[in-house]
Amino acid sequence: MKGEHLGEFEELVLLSVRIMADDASGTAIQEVLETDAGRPVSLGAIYAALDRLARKGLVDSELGDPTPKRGGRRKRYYQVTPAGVTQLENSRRVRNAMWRRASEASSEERASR
Amino acid sequence: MSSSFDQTVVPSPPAAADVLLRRTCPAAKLTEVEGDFIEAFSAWVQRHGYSYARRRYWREVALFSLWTVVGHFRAWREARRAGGGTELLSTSGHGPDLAKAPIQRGAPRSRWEGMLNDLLQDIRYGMRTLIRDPGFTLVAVLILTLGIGANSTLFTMVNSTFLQDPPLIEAPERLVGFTTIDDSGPNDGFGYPDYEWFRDENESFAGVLAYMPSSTAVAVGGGNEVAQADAWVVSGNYFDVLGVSMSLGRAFSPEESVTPNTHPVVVISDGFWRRFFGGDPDVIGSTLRINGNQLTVIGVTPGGFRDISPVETPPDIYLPIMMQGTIMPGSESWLKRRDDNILIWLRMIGRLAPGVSLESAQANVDVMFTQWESEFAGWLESIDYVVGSTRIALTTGYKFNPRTGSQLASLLTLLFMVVGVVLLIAIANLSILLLARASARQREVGIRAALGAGRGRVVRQLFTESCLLALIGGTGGLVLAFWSARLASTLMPMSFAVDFQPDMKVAAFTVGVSVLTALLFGLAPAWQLSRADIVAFLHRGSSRGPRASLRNILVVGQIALSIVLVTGAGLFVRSLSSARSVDLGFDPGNKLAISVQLGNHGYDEVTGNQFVAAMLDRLGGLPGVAVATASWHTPFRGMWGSSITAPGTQYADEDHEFDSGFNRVAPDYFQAMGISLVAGREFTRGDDTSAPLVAVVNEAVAEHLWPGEEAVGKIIQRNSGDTTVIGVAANANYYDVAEEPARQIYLPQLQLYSSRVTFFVSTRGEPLGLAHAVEEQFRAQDPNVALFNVRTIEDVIDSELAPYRVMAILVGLFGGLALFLASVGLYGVQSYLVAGRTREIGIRMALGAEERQVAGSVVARSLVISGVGIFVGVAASLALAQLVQGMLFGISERDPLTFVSVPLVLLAAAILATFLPARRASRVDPIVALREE
Repeated sequence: MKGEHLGEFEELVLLSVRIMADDASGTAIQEVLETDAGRPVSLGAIYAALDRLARKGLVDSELGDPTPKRGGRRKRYYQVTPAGVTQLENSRRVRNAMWRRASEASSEERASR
Repeated sequence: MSSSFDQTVVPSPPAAADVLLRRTCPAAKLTEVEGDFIEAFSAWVQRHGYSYARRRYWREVALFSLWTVVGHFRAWREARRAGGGTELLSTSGHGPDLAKAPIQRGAPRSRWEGMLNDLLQDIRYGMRTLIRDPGFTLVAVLILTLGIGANSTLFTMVNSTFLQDPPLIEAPERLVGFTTIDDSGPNDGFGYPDYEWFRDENESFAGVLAYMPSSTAVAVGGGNEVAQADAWVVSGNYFDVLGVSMSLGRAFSPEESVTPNTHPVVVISDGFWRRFFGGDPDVIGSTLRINGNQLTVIGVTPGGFRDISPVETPPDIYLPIMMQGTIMPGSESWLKRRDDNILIWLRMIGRLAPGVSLESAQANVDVMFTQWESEFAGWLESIDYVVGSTRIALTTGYKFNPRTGSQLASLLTLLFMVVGVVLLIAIANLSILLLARASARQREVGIRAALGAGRGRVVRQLFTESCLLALIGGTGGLVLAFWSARLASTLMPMSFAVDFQPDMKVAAFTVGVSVLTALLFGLAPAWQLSRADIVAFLHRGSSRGPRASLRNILVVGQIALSIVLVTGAGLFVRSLSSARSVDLGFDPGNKLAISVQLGNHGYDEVTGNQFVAAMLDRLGGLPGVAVATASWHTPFRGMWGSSITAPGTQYADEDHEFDSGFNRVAPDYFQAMGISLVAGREFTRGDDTSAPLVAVVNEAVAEHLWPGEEAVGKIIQRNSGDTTVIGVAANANYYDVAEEPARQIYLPQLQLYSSRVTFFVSTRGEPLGLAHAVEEQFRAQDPNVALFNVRTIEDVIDSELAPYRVMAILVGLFGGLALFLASVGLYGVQSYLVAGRTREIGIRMALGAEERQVAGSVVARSLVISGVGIFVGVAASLALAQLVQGMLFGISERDPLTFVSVPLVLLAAAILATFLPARRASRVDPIVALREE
């Protein structure tokens, strides 16, 4: 287990939940991942990730009303909890910092040639 | 997810997938998950169409199930780590408390989850058991891999040839083949006018196509390049009926198939396009010179299209039927009316019109055929045709011509029986191994039972273990099938256009066979173990264990089955070797054969003879060539028989007519082919049209016509006139490896021209090494002449022997495997018996028994069992031998040598298998043995 750290896939799913804001259902997340991340992912994998995120307290969910489009089934909407937002911000900060150092390193390399 | 969604036109997701989804999804989450799936499904339908959505839905459900299982497993592992129950001896059927698992929070636990847990538990436990005993596991997996792999291999072949639809053809299940059935069996030839009539007058088909089911070698030129290619002639609607759309350009249009030689167009295959045109995207409209005629490329077939038949190599070039004069000059007459032409050369395939069933199409065709019979009653009477003796049958087996199809089917059926027996032997073997092992596990099972595990639970656990073994073996078998199917296909007496890739069907078959296998070999030992008396187990460290009779029956059965297979193998090997050792009357070694059809390239008799003479000079002058010659026939390929008379002979027949085979041969033929001349001389270049007619006869003819007399100088009468016999050649086999010496008359090619010529180059070394140089010489003489079948005569004979060879190799292989398995089984049983008798042997040795006596008693026991098995096996083999009677060459199906030697081999194997256990018994230390108890 990765403990409280976010896996890469979990991070993508969490971001997708955030992107879809009020409409983050399983299928919606799948679409975001397919279009934005260019990554075809199965619903099963998304549910598993959402379960893990829920267990870590990073997402929350509630059941919506049944719609005819879903054959009269209710829909579960996910949203990012404050803890989730912090986590996302965190990982972005880490990434940004690392990217900065990475580009410094590569420009130094170029300069030294 | 568009808003134009309309509930009334919703295509529903596949129902079976839905069932799976409902089974696997935890109840509390079912509504929302199902909702997501339904929503996603309709989005896929709108975006990519129904069939994509169905496939996607299946995949998503399968992955979802997988993820759920993984989730359960993780949750259970976490729960266990957090101090949950131990799984090993759990008896409740539920194991660890899943309610603790976060994924399950608040959800009612389903029956399915309980079972899943038992299963996971059993699998883990089973794995551990198997790992603990690697020797047993390895042997068991090996046996199963071979047994199941043999079946998967065969199924792969059946699947690729019979079950799979040819790729890129639209709705292949609506295609039906036309077959004529008469006294001589099924046939698939039709004349062109009949084809047109069926195509235009029927009421049942969306379309009927026709093609000539053999390829014609053509010389293709484009620019300065000349290449050899295979061409097919097909009806103009060929690609339309198949529903194949071109990757470039277009298919033939209807007006291109009405009048002969007016629309010089061709469609080329994807492979030829890449090879010859380097994949040029602007190929459409380019000109190809085919046998000297200019034709325009109008289309390229899509990549992956391999035509209809799995056993015919698809062509490079498709010509419309109306253009066949291009590659076969003079064949325009084949397109004429049917009442003066009984030529049948086309295969017909129809596509059933929407809503028409095979039965009603058949009724339609029956009526049409009756009309046909009455329309041509006069002509049919003149050829002694009996009305009603023939019918046309529509078959779903459109992929094969009926003879190849049934040949392949019977071959595969026989092989399936063989691999089935191999699997049975493997199963008996595994049962024996498991039974032998059961004694070692009685204590363990006893403990589990004592701790409260129900019998069902114990049986399930043991059965899971068997399934694990079988599935590991099955996986190995599937891997084996990957390459062995292709390997086996190269041995078959036909060439395959399909490659033998196992697919989902093969995987499903393998899993099915594995589970069935596990049921058969695992259930008996599991049942026996679970029945055992718990208290007794705990008391005694070892016991006599399961009943001896079951084990003996298994060993006897196994030996009997392997006798059957080894006998079969022996028969086929003997048959092949007797076919190989036939004296053909000529020397097939070191000879290259190349055929040409000079008439296709504008040669007449004069220029054709010049071409042959020039080529014989060129080829004879090549370094490494001993002698070059030519003839009309290739040995074993084609024949021509005719009646002639011989005046003034004592021959009994009143009109002095008799039948003989004929061949037209070039000078030096007999020398080159290694046929010895018994008398007289062979043909020279002087034996041409200006010289008297001459012939060489073989001994069979000479003895028939002029018994006891000198044949040289005698006269035979042919249509062309009186012909003088100038030589007598030794008999040889001409048409068939199996034939009796047939009559054969040789005529000089220079006196009786034929535009089809096969050149023979007798080489000093490996003939194929010269193939390139030989082809160069042809190209130098005339680059536009197409070369058919460049190959060695040994290859020709090899393909003649292929049916014998494939049986000898495959059945031999499986027979060897069976022998090996039976020996392993016998060894296992004897080892086990010796282990069980340690105490008894110890006592006997303590009482003064000799080592030799002890070993002897072990061997004797094994010989009794083997003897019974061998007896049963030989009896069964004698009964079954009838089955292969027609497939043997030159030996009886009750070949004494085979039936004597096979039991001896088995007996030797039995003694060998008993040797080690017997030695172990003789080394038993009485003191150790007695202290054991």
